[in-house]
Amino acid sequence: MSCGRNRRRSKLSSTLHGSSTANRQSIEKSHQFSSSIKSNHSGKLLKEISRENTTNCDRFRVLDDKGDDVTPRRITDYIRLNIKKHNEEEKPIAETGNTRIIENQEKSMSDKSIVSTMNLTTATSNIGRTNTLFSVGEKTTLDIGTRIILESEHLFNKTQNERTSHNNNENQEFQATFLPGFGLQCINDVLADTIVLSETETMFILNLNSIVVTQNDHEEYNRIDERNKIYMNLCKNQRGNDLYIERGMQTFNNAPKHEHTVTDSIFIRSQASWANTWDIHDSTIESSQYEGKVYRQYVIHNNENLNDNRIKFDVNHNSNTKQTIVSTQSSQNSSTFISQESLVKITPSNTNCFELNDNNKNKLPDIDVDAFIMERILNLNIYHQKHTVYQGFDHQDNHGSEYLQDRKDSFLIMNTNLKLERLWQYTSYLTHDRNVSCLCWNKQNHNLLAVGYGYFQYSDDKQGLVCCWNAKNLEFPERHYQTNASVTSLSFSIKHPNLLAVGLFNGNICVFDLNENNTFPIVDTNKYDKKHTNPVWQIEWNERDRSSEIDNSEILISISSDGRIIRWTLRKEFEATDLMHLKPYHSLQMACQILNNNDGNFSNSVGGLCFDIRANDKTIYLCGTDEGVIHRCSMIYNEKYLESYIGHIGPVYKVHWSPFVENIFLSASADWTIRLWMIGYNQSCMTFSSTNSKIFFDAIWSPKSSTMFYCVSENTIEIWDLSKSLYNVYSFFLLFLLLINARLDPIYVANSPHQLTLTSIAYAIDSDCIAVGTSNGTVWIYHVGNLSSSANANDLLTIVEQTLHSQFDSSEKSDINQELSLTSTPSIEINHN
Amino acid sequence: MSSTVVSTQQAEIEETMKRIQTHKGVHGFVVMSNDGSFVRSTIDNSTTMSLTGLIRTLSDKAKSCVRDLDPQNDLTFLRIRTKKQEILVAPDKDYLTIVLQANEQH
Repeated sequence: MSCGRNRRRSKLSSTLHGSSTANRQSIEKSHQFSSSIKSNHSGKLLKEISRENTTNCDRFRVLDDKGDDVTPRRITDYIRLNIKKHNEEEKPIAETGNTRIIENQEKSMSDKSIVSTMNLTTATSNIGRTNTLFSVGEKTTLDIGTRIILESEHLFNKTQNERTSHNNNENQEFQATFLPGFGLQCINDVLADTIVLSETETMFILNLNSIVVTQNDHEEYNRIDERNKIYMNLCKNQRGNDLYIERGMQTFNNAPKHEHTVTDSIFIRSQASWANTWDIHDSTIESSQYEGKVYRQYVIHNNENLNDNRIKFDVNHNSNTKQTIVSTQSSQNSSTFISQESLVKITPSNTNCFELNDNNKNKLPDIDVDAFIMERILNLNIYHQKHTVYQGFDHQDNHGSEYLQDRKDSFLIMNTNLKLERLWQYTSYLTHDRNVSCLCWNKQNHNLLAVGYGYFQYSDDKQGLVCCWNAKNLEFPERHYQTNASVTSLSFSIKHPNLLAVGLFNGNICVFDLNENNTFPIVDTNKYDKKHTNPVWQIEWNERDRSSEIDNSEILISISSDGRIIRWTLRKEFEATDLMHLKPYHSLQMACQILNNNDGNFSNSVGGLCFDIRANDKTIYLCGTDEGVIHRCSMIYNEKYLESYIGHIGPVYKVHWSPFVENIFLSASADWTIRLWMIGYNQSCMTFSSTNSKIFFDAIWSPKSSTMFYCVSENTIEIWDLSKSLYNVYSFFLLFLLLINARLDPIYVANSPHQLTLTSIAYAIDSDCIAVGTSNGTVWIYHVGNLSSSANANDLLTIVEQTLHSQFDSSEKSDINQELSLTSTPSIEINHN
Repeated sequence: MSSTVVSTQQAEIEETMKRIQTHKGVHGFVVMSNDGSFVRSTIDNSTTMSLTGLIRTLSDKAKSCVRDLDPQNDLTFLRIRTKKQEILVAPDKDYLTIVLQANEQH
């Protein structure tokens, strides 16, 4: 601190001051000296001043404890010699004169510097003895110590001269004073004064003991604690504070030396590992993700491995294989350990619906994926051939024939090479003894078949089941969902292929999400008040065609026996709008009767059993009723039907538009017939039935050929081909004959296996296979082989038109039947099983 | 909720495993974890031990080979068809599944 320095300076000046007035104020001097204990100069001065009392410069001797003479020799001894030499040369008179002058000047000493004193002396002295020592210009080169000595030299000379004239009494006035700090003892010995040096007792300038306080002493403790805190705050505030300046000090670097210690022997082992390409790749990915943590983990794992190794080596009962396992593990630990995040989770190949979500929340290991794949591979191994047939790869004929002969699964009939080969069946313990009510193929994943299990009539068994089967796994369904009522209809969404809408026997509609297995539906109409009250017989997703709608979401359309066709929109919950209320169809006569009679007993609603939306114009749809009438309606206009088609005398189970010709559609009914209709004619163009067919549950068009369709009746699968049947018999000049005797055959009939009732049929999307559902829960997959060249739309049109023409012709001729119906018997029938 | 999901998954996995074991032509079925302990095995102990030790080595080598060619690729499945049977290996980061199936004779 600067003030400290100032103090020091003031001390110095005080000593200087003291030295100049030494001989007068000895007491003052003592005070000043006591204030500056450690000053060397004061020590010297003291000795000097003490010597003033002596005539002999060797009067004082300094002795230490041991009695050695450690009298410091003065620098000015040498100077004095010179002076004395000088003095001998000079006149003594001048000397005395000078001394008097000096004395005078000494007496009138003021606060002048020594230099000025010296100057005066030099100025006034003629001797110039000091000139030899120093000159005026040289005064600055002398340090203070020398000046003091020289100055006191003058005093000494002066006193020496004085003393020559004074008597000894005065000498004794200038006895050295005792200063307790120095411990000097001035012996009152005139001849010899001995100064004995000894160590003083230790004086504590500042003693700050640390205080140890127990916590029991609360007052003290708290006080000290607070003080500690204050101190800590002070330390904290030191930085950046202008009041505190850091200063560095040089310390001594001690020379280092070697020191030996003893430790345990260090266990050294060598370890090698491969650095493969993927290893490096994994490491870089990991390090970019974790940035430093990975190394720690790696090391820990390494240590674990090492420990395991050591332990396993120690234990004796290891077999060879276990050791090899461990060794491979340690060399491959990087592969198994580091690549946690970078190992891509395995997803089955082509199913978007079943993407296993690889979120990190899944705590279970991927064993389920392994098992999943394993099962598929197992299936693949066994059913490989059938899969190839399913996919449409041609087998060698010898194989095929062998297969035929062995299994007798396929049939050859008549003049076609068409054969129906039973590939496999979808069945499991879940589906045992359930009735298949509907089938639906997934629009995106063509291997996926959704099967609904439920009864057509009311039964006590309330449970329903939906299973999703995959061609890759024939043993067990990929997904299965339980419902609380029989399932009557199914439909996959087009826009979101993982959504499956299910219509139930109790009128509810649920939507399942196929991403999860065996869960509850994501939406349900259970609580909805406008829901159907009767079984939902058909349900379809439809895309909104209107361009005005921004939200191009899908809507769901359902038809039910309660006579309503409802359009559902799916946002958070179901929202419904009625599309149509089915009203009973009465002919004009009957309507008049009703009005006349006013019975009011006629029920005003009729049940709807099926519908089909036209492919190219999404607003037009057909619906079949349970009174046998088919209506064509529009979604925009829900007051009346556009057209009605009369002909069936039993409930119409299914209607389908032809995929090739816009205006033609097919209907399957419980009155043992299938009818072909054309728009514009409210009577059927053609009717099909065969002797061994009973109720037709379903009839579908073939997507490959325009004139073919498949239908399933109670015990048989029938394939009809209009071009084939009619081609053989078609000829103009035999027309009349043929009209009476012509046979319209199904070109193929297959009996149901095990004499089961066949309930539904669906054609696979990208394969020549049909799926047929039975009443005991199995779904059979048949492959339709040797399809002949497909007919196009024109063929169908021509056939139908010609038939219509013939209809009108015959109607002129025959009065009984207005429509042409031809019955036939199949020529060959093969029973099997 | 997550615990129920886990338990249903567990049940499904168990069911799948059972179906695999009873699949047509399957002689043996082993699931072992990465540290060498066995989760499931339908073969006698000594055969299992030798089988798994050797198969693991081979599977690791195959995996290393696949990933050396393309580090972003990974081994999904390994099939070894022998005269007497077919060995199907499904490696995983935690488990290794091995199934022995008889060769289909057509």
